[in-house]
Amino acid sequence: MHIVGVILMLVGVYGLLTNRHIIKMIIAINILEIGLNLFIISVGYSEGLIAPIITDINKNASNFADPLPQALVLTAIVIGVGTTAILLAVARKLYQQYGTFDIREMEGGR
Amino acid sequence: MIRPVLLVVIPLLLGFLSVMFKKQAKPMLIVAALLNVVMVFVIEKGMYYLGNHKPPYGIVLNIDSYSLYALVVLNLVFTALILLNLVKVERIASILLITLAGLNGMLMTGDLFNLFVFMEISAIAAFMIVTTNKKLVHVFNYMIIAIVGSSMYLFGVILLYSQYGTLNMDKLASLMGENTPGTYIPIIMIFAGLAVETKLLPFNGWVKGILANSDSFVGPMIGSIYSGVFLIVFGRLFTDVFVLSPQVKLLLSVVAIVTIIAGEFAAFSSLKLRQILLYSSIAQSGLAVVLFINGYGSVAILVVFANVVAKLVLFTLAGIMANSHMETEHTAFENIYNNKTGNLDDVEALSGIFLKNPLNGIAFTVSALSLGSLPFFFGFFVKINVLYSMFNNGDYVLPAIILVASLIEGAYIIRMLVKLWNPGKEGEKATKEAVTPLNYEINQLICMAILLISLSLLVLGVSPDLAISRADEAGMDLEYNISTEYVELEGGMK
Repeated sequence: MHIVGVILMLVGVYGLLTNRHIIKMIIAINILEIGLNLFIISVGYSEGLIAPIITDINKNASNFADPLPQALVLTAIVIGVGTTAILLAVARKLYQQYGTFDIREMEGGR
Repeated sequence: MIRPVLLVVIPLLLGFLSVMFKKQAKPMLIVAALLNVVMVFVIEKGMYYLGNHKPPYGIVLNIDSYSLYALVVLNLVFTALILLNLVKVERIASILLITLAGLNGMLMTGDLFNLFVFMEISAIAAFMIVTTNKKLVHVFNYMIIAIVGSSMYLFGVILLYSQYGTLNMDKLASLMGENTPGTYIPIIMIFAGLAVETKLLPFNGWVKGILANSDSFVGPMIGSIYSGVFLIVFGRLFTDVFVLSPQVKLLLSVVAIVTIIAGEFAAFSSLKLRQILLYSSIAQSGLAVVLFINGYGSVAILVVFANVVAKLVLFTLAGIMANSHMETEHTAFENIYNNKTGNLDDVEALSGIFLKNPLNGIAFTVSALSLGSLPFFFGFFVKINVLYSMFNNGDYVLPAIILVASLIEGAYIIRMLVKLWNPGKEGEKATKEAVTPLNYEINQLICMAILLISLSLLVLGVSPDLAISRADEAGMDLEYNISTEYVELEGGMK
């Protein structure tokens, strides 16, 4: 899962470097963030561990997974949603202003 | 006893309330800013555990001399900037309340992930602040670079967590060994993440687009306050928390030195006022970073402080001048610029403008000369301290680089000031006719306030004892880890 996370992050970076379409760039940023979130989750996971929720069945268990990365990912997802919302708002304004989503055409006209 | 968390909670609460009571947003902002100024002078040093949860389960706020020094400067400068731009802050008062909460949180937190959250809060607020420039392509570029930077920071933090099992800065500092190859990648990732906002090469591609189009509010906010806070946070992490191996230290120093040199040369070759200032900001950031990395915490704090105050004045005045307008019809200028207002900040076009506004001229000159480290100004004492510390430490390469950079800096600052005071071409006699037809309006109260802020650099230059002794105290907290309180592992409720 570590590797999948890192690969997704690299895909996101590749997308950012090769795309000039701003919606595609926003999608690339999201892929990067998803990869990062997956990587964070993978840090707290090991084979044979159980979910860190105490119930009657497992109250004496000691093989709980580390709950901290999950809490971190929850926060990171919320932040990611916030930044994506702003990016999309700016993208919409850019489209209204320039009539295109291609950043090269906008840069030519700024 | 005042709890330091109130520095975050009050602006944050008012920020949300201001969305519901829009008409009261500006008064709320002013109240929060002033309250924060009062609070930073009465809060006591110590480690504050939020909700009484001990680390590693809880978050700790670390109030030591270092963070207190930064909090005082941040809240004073932030409040001054708000009061100087009372009209402009009207529309973005809610965002500025969130900014205030985020920046204060960044300076106080003792937890790496909590720092990420505060960084993101501040960054999201910054995105909204820079949209007021109306240069949305540049804003989009800035957002993309900043988001990638924060992702790199988070990646580095998680790598450290997976290695050491803690996000607490003090605990991490006690666990990290000097020659641990596994920490190279996380440290470089975190460095790259912070390099975006501290404007280091090659992560500063956004700076020109944002600051070269900034007005009298966005310029000081991003170029002075944000930059200062991120540099202080950088200092905390790279001097107090991470133990850098000689190889990593060398690598990061080279990046910072290249930033200094590139920044100074770019400023030297720029002909526009705000471009000169933004490139100078980049160089100053590089200087602060190289000092922090090499353990000169006290002087690095002084560099940041001197730069924040000087840039507050310079960017404010440059922003005001950039929106100057023609006083009378002037064919030559119309031919050159083909419009009558907006973004006329060519130094050439503004020649002699200070003859029309001498008080602004004095404020600008004092701040610029302090930035250029001329004697009797605060910047000079800072530079002397930098060199003195390095020579004392037997370091001769860095001072040589800093001296060369200072020479270039002095040259372009003097050249800029001569042009702004002295109308006409080089070698020709200055005449009234040669004075720029451009003019700008500035409220007399704001004019006097800016002058007072800039004169503080002169006062501090003549009597720098207080600033230097406080910075020494703050630096001691970093270098000798006095601020590092050993944290028990057990956690839970106290």
